[in-house]
Amino acid sequence: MKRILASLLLILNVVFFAQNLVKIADIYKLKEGETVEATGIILAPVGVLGSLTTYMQDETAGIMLYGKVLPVDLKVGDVVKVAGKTKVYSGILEIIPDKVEVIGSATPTAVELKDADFKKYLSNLVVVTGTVSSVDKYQFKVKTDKFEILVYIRKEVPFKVETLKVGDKVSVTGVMYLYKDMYEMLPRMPEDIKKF
Amino acid sequence: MVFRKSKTNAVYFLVIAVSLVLTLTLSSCSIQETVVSGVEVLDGDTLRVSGQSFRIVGIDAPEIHEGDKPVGEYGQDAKNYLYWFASNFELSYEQKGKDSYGRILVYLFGKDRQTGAKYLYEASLTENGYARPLIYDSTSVPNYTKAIVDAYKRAYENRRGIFSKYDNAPVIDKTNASQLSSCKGKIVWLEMDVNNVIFSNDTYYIYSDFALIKIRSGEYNNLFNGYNLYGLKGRKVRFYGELWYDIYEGKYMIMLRAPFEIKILN
Repeated sequence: MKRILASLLLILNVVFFAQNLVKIADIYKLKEGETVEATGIILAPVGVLGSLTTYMQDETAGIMLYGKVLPVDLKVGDVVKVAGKTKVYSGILEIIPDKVEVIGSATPTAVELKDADFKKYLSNLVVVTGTVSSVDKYQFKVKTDKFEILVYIRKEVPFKVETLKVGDKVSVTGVMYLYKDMYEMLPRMPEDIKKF
Repeated sequence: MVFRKSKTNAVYFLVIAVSLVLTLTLSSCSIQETVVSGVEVLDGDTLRVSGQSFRIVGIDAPEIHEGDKPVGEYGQDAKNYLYWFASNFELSYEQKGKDSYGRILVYLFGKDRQTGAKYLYEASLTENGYARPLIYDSTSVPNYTKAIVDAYKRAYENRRGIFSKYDNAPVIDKTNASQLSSCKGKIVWLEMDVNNVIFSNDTYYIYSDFALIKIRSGEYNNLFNGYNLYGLKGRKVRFYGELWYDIYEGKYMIMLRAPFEIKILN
């Protein structure tokens, strides 16, 4: 009888735990301010794409994480379990974690940017291959057959935009970000920009 | 040559009394080394031989005279240590060019005449906590740099010299910033709300509204093991080191050398 009870408790525990853990895509369906628990792969070092900020993604979507609870030494590829409340920051849904736990490591895979519906890629690590169509001081644009996307180089990323010129064929990896009402990609390191 | 009155004059005299023999030797690994004697110790990282100044590279010993940098703590200890080193070992050096002041840049070695053991002065001084690493790519030799870096870590672990104050140095934050001027050259903890981290001219600048932290690439690349300094933005952090004043930025600052000189409070 005791053993059955123990097994039942274990099953209940697992079910309870699984219910609490949500896929990232499902977090976007919840109301702002909900408490969530999710796992994901860290996409950028904390602070490189914004103060006290990083991003994580699972196979369904990506999301911004913000707050002092984020350990400074989180690494790209750390698999984390976070628990916290959601909040919308400048049009971007984020989790403000109360707790962050590193539970493993994995390589984050960039999602190929296939169309101009950038919204569905928000906070995901994306990759685009195309031709440089304009070059500015801190940014450049990449054009494909279907769309054009802005790539913004933050000061924390030691990549010199002037090494690119219009017409260069490039492959760019970065986190999809929304700045005011403009979608842009934020590379995390110079290696995110490859010139062919 | 002028002799200053100090306890170390005896040692000093002993050192310069040694015959002025300059011979060229080649070490086993074919690096050109010059044996030297009759040295005049200027401070922990500078000496003079026959009127020529030598800057000992890879390290930064605390100043004993006010200049660009203030007089630091343990500067006299560093100088005394160089006296001791020079009087107990057979000195030789490996030249790494000259600096803009015409000083010869050297790594300094001391050979124990009895055992034949050879010591890298920079690492010995650093291990005692009397110097901090100051690494330039142009003069860096991987083995020597590693020895200096390891020595600095040991000085920290053993709380030697500059690290003897690690657990009780004064903490200066925005609320008691008026103490800054009286603490120039002293070893302190600076507590600040980091509002920005910038990399420019081979240096990381960690800003707060009342003080500044700098980290040179030389030290970052050799001591910080990829430490994510950008992660400090928005946090309350304490930094440990000798307090300087940066006239260009108009702020008090610490030239940070290692990640163990950082404590994140929240």
